[in-house]
Amino acid sequence: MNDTSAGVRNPVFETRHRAKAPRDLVWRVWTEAEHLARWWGPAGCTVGRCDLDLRVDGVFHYHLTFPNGEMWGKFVFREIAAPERLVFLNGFSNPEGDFAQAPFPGDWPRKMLTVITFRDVDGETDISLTSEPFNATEAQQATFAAAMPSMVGGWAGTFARLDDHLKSQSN
Amino acid sequence: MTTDRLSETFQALADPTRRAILARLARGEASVSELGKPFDMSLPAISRHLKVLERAGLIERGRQAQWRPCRLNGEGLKPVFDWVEEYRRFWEQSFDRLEAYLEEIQKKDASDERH
Repeated sequence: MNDTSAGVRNPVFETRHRAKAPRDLVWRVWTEAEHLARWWGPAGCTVGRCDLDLRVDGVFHYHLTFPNGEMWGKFVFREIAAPERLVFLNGFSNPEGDFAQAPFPGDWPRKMLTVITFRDVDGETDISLTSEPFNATEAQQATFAAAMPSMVGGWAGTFARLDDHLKSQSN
Repeated sequence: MTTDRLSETFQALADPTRRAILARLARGEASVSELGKPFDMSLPAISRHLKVLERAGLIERGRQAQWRPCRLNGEGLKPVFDWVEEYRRFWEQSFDRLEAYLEEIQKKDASDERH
């Protein structure tokens, strides 16, 4: 077996953001419901229900409405270390607050394990986020890996090229 | 794409040899014997993997009887990429909204202090 498959590690989604605000403030807007209600979610959404119970095993349960749809989601907190680290399981949910299947077809992991770290950099805050499928089947892991052009390990370069290839095909 | 077709895609991706074959094909088309080289595996065994990949719509094979080059079928993997793109968009757009909100409340704090 060559390195391409032997080097496959647990696939991890990563993204970073530099927030132009001090870390204590960034922590507060991430961990207080009245703040979350005003910014949480992607472009064009409105936060409806926004229930936050910030403790280990506590839940953030939210409802987002978009011009053309809606979604329910939730976090279950696993680690809370103010003001620098939040660890939670996240996924789609139903209105009752149970984790639920993604609202599109396919065998996707229901839960992602997400770690967010907040680092103070000269009065601004470097936020880094990693997410990986939690308790996923091997097929789900593989699927996620195949879809992760930026992940580390043997697949990275290969699938970055594949991604370019797909883009060129769709143009 | 139907859910059944997607399940076949997932099944096909669950095997490390098949993932390695796809990785090789991402670099360009190849014959069965070229694909077999890196693996300690008989050509019939490789052919069986190729059949699974072909049925799942992840690869296509040329028509010539002797030399049937395999190539990646990008469309087959597209639904897989779409999902992670959606996930990335969710977080990146949330960060954008966070930034706008932080700016708004810091401006408000600054003007409150002036009054």
